[in-house]
Amino acid sequence: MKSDERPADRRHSTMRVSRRELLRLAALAGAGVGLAGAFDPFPAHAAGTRGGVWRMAIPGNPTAYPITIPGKLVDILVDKTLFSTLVKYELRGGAILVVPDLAESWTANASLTEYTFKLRRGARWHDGQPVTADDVKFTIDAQLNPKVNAGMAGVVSAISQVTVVDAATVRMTLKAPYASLPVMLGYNIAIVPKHLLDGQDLNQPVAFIQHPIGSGPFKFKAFAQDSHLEVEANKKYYGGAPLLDGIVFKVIPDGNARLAQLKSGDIDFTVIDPPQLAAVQGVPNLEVRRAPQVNYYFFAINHERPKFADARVRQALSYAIDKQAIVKNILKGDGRVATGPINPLLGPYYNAKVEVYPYSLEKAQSLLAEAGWRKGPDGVLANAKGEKFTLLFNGPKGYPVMEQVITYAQQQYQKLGAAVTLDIIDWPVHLKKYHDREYDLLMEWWITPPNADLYDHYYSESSNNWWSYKNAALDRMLIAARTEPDEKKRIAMYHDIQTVIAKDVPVIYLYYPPELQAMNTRTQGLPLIGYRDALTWMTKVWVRS
Amino acid sequence: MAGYVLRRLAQAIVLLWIVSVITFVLIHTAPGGPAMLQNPDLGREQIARFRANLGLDDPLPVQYVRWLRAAVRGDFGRSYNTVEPVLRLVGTRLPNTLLLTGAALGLAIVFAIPLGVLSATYRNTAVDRAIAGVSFMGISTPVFWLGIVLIVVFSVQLKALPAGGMYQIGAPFSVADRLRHLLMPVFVLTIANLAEVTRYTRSAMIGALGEDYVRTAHAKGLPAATVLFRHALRNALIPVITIVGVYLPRAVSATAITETVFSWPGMGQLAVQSAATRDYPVVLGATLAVAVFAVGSSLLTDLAYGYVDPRIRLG
Repeated sequence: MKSDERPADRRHSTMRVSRRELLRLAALAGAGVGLAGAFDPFPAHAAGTRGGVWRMAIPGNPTAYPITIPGKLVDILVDKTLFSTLVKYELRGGAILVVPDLAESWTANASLTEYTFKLRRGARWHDGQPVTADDVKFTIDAQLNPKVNAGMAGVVSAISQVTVVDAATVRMTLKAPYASLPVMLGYNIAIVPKHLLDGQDLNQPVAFIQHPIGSGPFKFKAFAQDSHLEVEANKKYYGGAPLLDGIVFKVIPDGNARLAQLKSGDIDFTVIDPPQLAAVQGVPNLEVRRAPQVNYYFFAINHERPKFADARVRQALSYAIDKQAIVKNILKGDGRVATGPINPLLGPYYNAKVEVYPYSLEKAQSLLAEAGWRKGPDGVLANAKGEKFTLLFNGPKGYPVMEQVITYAQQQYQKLGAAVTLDIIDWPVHLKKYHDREYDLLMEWWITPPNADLYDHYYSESSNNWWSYKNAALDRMLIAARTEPDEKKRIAMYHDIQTVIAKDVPVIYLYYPPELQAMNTRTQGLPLIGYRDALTWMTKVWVRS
Repeated sequence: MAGYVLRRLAQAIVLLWIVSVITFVLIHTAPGGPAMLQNPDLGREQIARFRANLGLDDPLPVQYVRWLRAAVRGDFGRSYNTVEPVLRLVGTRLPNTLLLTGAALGLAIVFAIPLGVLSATYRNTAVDRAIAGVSFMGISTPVFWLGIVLIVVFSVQLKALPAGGMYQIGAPFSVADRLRHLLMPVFVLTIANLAEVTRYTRSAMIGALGEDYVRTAHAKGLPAATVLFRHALRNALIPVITIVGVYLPRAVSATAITETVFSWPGMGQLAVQSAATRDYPVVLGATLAVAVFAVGSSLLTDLAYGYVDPRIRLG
């Protein structure tokens, strides 16, 4: 005891110790109550530390295997927590950027035909084996193998060969110059372990599917068919151990049941549709998040139909739609009017100064007249040959917002004099007609990686060009842009591309909606971004108990 | 008797074969193709290559024979959607549905037969009308509405019952837990069945009570209870066995809506989802499972008739 210590200080320090003891006791008590009360498979975290189990709803059974179809959305979502990709996407300052993940850096040669990726050290599979360049080569070779039903084969189709330079370096040689390879390698190209899959039937690696091994922040724990898939924290994750103890993906097929379980506290997170907003707004412990997503919604135009050959007709169809009104009245303000196929989230690549088509029925009518379509005595547009302007308008069933937009568009086009027939059908048939070009107009959407390259959907001969859109000048611009090594020049080229597209109206651009998420407020640290990308940032998420 | 059963089994096999052919043709000619090929990210060439890899470009009879050869060996293939073996998939889903429908049918019979007897005995009185009214409400209530209302009241607002699923995730097995999860879906299904079985028992009982042997029994001086239960009811049971026989095949497939609302992993949900996504192997497996059940329960029903009614001689 120090000579200058006053009795009051000693009393104070005694109290300080016992308060700490009290807190410790309280923490233990809390943990004990947690263990007894909730049937939590993971140890309850002591009050004050960050952890917990986060529960998310998925609409169907997941297959945690990233190489082949089915490749359903639920598969991809689960894979985001179990596996790693070479790069991933981060939202920073309103734009989505490509950041390193398994690859810590990369370089390309001057002509963009060869990329060299350096893998980070210390990355290990969940079974302890190191992640090496052999695994990367194995993964991409599997995707490129024609006998393997690889869902993401299109993404890596630019690659002609993968070479292992050393254990931590892999080189990819491309068929043609391609600026977007790094971005696209982050689009669901999850790296799988060669030592577990070599020699297996890659279309149905039964043992691996029953117990997937990845290198992601979470490890596979258990799968109960039709009930849930559980993953637990990978404490040895190279990006730092996750705060969460685990994640439960609960299989809840019905949309109303998902909402009910969110409200009753059985799950923490689900995405919702605009009609479900009313059910979650104002509910205590729930918040609605509007997460940015790289997407655009549009009316596809079937360019095999002769009446659409004249650009004035396509422009007229765009003038006749009041996109501001759609965002305001149907989306209830959740969204922005779309100016083209490149979303504002692509930062410098986005060009807002393109031709837009502000709502004007008069302009639409006069453009149609210029193109030779005039209203006949029956009120229906007809051309000089007497052909009527009919529109077979296709849409998928089960999407109330899209059905509202299509119904609105039908009214507008009928005002112009078009004879519109709606074809709202269930999903597989809708897609089949999309693929087989059995439509005049069709409402669809694209959710894409943060890549400005439009080649896949807009190049004349591309196998993903579902509109048969052929524009030779644009084709040249698309090739030039995707092979341009200098980023500043590339950005300028994409600005020009957007200008050309806006003038030519290959499809009618409608809106960029956010992804609507409904979440229990006990969730902390989940980045405000679409959940396809948020699930790659789960290490910083925790749950308030 | 043995000859009768053997003949019925032979008929059953032929019937199952016919069902498989019809189902195969129907599902393969349904427009759209398997959902896993409908991913918009897949390009035209990719889709064509996958179809070829999966054997979907071969002529239908070739594909059917390929399926049949594997099926008779017990290999019903794997689901397109989840790579799960079809037999295992159906094998886990079937008991889940049977649990649900068995409990519901059992409860319905337990309550409906006494209610039906009551209605018949006191027909056209207030009791009869009250039971008829409740039955009517039961038949008219849509299952999906009732299910969601129950979830909202008991799970969301009162937090007394779980909102769906078969069991609490992560909890050790407990009968109490399973019963809590069973309560609402079984209630919904029982309400639907109760009405029909009550009405049917009532009419069957009324018919039986009008028979001559009942008047004879009364004339003999037997107490009313004996007349009711030893004579009338046993005869009224024949139509009731018919009803149960008709319900049994439904017991493995007609529960799709209830199962969807309560996230109950059963055959109904499996059948609907696999058809909607054109999951060919699962559609065939599920349809055949239901067909086997239908054929089997029809045989059981006929055997039960033979037992209950000495006038019926089988074979």
